[in-house]
Amino acid sequence: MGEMLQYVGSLFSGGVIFLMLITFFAGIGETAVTQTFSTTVQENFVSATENIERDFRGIGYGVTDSIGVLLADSSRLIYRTDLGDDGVIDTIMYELGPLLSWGGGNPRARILYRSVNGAPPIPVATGVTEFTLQYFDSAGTPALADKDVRALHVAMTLESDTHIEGGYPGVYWHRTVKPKNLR
Amino acid sequence: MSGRALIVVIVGIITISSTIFLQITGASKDISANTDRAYMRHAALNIAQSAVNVAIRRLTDQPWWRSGVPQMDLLGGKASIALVETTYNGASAIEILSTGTMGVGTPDEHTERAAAFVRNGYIPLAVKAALTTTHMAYPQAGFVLDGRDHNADGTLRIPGGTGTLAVWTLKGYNQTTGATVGGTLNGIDYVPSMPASPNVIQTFQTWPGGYPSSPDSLLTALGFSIPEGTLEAVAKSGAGGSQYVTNPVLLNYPLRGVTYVELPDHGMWDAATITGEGILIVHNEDRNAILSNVNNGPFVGFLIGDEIVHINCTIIGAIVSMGGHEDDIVNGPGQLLFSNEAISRFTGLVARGLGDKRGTVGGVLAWKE
Repeated sequence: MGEMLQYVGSLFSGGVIFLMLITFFAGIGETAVTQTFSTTVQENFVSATENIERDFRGIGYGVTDSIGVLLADSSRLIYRTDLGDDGVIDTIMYELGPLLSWGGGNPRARILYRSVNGAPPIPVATGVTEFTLQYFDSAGTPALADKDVRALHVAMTLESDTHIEGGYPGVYWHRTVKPKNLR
Repeated sequence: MSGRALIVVIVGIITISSTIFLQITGASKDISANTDRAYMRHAALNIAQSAVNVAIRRLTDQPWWRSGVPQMDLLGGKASIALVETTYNGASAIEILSTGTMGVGTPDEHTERAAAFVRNGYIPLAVKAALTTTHMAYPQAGFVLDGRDHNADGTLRIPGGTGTLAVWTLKGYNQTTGATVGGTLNGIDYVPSMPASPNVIQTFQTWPGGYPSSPDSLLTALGFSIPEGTLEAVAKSGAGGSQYVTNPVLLNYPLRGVTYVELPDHGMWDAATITGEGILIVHNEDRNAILSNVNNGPFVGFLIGDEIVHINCTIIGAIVSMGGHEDDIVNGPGQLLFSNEAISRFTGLVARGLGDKRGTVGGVLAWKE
């Protein structure tokens, strides 16, 4: 009888410990997966934001008239700059694409496109769930006209296409850019 | 479970846990590295942009500065500055190129570049000769009037051919014994002589649209002009040692930057000392301010006056007078040596003191990052 009790007790204790271990490994495994996807999203994000910021800082470079910004919209920006530093003014467009229609993946994900001189747009960032532009004049108040734009605030969220328990890992970034050639 | 089996199980647990933890910390390290990289990039860019601003400030004090800075400490990193004379949209410009580096010598080292184009000096359209005047020109008594190009130190520029006429005037010309006059026409230098070669003297000229009537209008260049009142404003600002006075007794020497002496109606600055450099203006609204017996120099730069009488010192640059009366000019024992370099140094100072039409500061035409 005593031995039976020992066996039962051992079995119970072992089972509890085994469950704890399983839960522990499952938890850290999930953390590892989340970290991995977050790192991937962040790497894509850093690359995209570096390019966007560099582009926006160059708005108006080489433009001799006062027309640096052609269209200032909340999700689209068209501006002029001498991209190749060759004396020829180029027209650059940034635009947030429509919601992706295929099944699966992140249902809120979109693609941020960039186009130069009317060429077919190319993606600069995928998994964009938010891309918002705000424009300000020289006084720091919202610009009333495209020609009054002296600074712009960009906010962007990138998310992973893979759903992890709790949601889609993502990164949020916002920055105010004051192109010196517009001032 | 036997002791050995238990050891095996525990070692297995430790191994698996360690592997997973390593994976987590590795991902965390990558995330931190991205953040660190973004910081280094922005810090390096701040350094590069700040270095450009340092260069713009230095050009205000030293318009002739072109040597740059090979390396300097700035904002926790290193910066370098180089200057290149070039053009921007057809305008004479200086390109300031800077690099900013964070984490020098470390694995995290990151370098960013910035550049700006600022206005360079230029020769105003009003400078048609070493002496451009509304008056009769009377070189005499040992005066040397040389329109050939000279360096800012007064030495003749070699190779030659880049100078200008000796005299351009709305009136006549009379060179007397003792004075020697020379200049450049169509790339050919004429050594100062008595009498001067007629090729370097142009008399009874006309100025389409009328002779300029203000100092600011004399600084107009092709496609570029300065608003009326700019020279006075620069002088009053004190930029680069500039001065504005209504009594020349109050001047500080040596003259630097833009020196604006506004005299009363028919006012005279006699026995003048003009030692220094820059743009010197002696003028009033009625264009009858008199600069007389200019005894003490040398002056390097651009002299603008209403009536200029008896120059007895060395002037390296150019003179433009715009007075309405026929007074003598350049009839002292001094010398006027034309110098593109001297004029450009200080017209650049004025040009950089202006914003462009979009209001950028420091005369910056464009930023490139």
